[in-house]
Amino acid sequence: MKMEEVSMSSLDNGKLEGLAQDILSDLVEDACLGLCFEVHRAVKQGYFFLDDTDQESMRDFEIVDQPGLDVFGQVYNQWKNKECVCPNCSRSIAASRFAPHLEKCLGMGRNSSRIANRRIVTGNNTNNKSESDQEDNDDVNDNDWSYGAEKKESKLTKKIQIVQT
Amino acid sequence: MSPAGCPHVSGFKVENWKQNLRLIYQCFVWTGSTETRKRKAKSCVCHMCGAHLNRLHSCLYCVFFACFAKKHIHEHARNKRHNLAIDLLYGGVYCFMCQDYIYDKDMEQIAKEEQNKAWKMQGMGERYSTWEPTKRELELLRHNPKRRRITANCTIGLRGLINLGNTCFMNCIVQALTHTPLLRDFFLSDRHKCEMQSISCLVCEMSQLFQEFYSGHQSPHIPFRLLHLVWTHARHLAGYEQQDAHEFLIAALDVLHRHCKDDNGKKANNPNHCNCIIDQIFTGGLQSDVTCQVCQGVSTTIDPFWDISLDLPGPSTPFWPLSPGGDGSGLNGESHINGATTLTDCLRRFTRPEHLGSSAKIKCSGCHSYQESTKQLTMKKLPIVACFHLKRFEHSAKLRQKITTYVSFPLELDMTPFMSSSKDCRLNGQYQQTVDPFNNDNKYSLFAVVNHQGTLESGHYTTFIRQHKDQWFKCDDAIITKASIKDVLDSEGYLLFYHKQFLEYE
Repeated sequence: MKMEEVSMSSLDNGKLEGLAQDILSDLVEDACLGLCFEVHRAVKQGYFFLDDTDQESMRDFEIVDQPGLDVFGQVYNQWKNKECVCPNCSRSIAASRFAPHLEKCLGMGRNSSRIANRRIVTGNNTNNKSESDQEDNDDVNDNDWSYGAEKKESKLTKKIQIVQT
Repeated sequence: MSPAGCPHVSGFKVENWKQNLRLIYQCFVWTGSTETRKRKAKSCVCHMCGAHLNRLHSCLYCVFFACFAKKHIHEHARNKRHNLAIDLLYGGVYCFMCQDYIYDKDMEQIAKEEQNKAWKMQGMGERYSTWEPTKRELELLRHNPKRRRITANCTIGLRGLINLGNTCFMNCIVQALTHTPLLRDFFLSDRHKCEMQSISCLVCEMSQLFQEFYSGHQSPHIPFRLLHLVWTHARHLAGYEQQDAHEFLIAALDVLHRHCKDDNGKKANNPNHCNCIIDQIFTGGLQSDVTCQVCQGVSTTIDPFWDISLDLPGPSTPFWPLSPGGDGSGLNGESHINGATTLTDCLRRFTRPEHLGSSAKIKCSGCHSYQESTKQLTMKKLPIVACFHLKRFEHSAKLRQKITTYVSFPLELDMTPFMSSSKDCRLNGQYQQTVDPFNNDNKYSLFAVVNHQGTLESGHYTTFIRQHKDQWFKCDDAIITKASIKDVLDSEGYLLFYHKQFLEYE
């Protein structure tokens, strides 16, 4: 027995509708069979259990939705004393002050050039450590972290003055 | 349960068995070409009942096809003592002695090779196969039953970020990026192969970031290395621009894109046709059409974009009136919209034809002279992730104030009206066609919203991100809390991240 080719144009709408339904149900059945094979293989090869998870872990990672607590069930604002090591100068810096430190450490931003120029002009030959201490003291009242664009201009003029003297 | 299959296959593994098996796979299981497919369709019928489905199997010892459902293949096995048969749909080998499907390592190897070959022949590229543990790995997993599994109610994937000194502008972007599904999948499946020095590669650091977010650690992460890398690779961020989250996003994407380019072997030959993951996800094409008012000749350019910056109605900005006729010029900047401005309004304004005026004449190649023209922007190609930037901070504006106008934005967005292809279907900015519910190409879902609270001088950034289908979380530096959809949609909105709903293979 063999399959025959039939031209689609010879079929009326009813037949086509029926064919479409047949094909759809075949596809669904094939898909189900595929899933069965996947599971069968997983069980036989011994890795079916991998999907399981233990209750304790599930509980550990459950989302918490309560006032005053974050999703992990932790109280807000307990992370005050984090530290990190600066990739540039290898010093240990308080995490919450890392960005201003890095700005100076990398010589970026307005303050760095101001301080560098001051160093040049006054011929400051104190050692590096007190330099950076000075810099750190500088930014206690820092207004860098704002959109204050007007400050930039005046510092630039000052820098030019210093260089020109 | 031996991975080596069953003892009964040894009878089959004689002489030229490998070649025979390959032939069976090529002709009757994984048919790679049109001819083999047709041949399979025509000749693979049950030799006993003529059925072409019913879980057809082929005997492995002789040329005999029979169906499983009616046990015709079983009959053949009994009569001829041919103990092995192969399922023609999935290629599984059935042993009639064991009365079960068996998995023989050598035979599976051949099956896999043939399947990959057929896949490639059909132009579908490399066939993806899921990870399977080795024997040793299985042993380890059995001995260590604790699992971390991502379920619907699980915190894995969420993590706070320490503020390094007013670095919320960076933290809010990191949250949006780590919750971009495609980016997450790329990094968690280890797709970045670094060709730079790993320690200075931002993509490697990004990869590390995903590891941190999915580590299960609940203490906030300290992104100091990330900050260092971005600043060393994007020096222009120094100065007051550094506090803008939008600026940071563009700079970060740019550095990632530069560092990614080394991945694909495309060494900056053609920066416009990079195929790195950043370009694949974020790059869209913006079409600009300039129409000469005299000869109606159109000059078209297409530029890549990573985000769309949208003007908002404010005291000094004449906004798009929805009344017919006129394009807003000469009107005095009041909003004609009753109720809130919507994101759609902003997009309509963005893509409206704009009369360039007599002081901005364009040289027309058709007229060979300077003429007045209209210019219109539309989306030629949409990125997978569309980022909308609401221009709330205008540094160059006369009024140095933050524009706090509430803009309502939807959870689901259809970009069809703003596409280049829809240009002719618009009249006065209104899309005239009804949106086709079956066309899914341009449908987007909101997944992250970056908000700015405060003034131009000092403020704070936070992000809402979406985990799973409709769970939202607020990320405020180190504090992650659950949020409602209402919280998200009621927020002011500064950066809106939308993800394409349906992805197509190219």
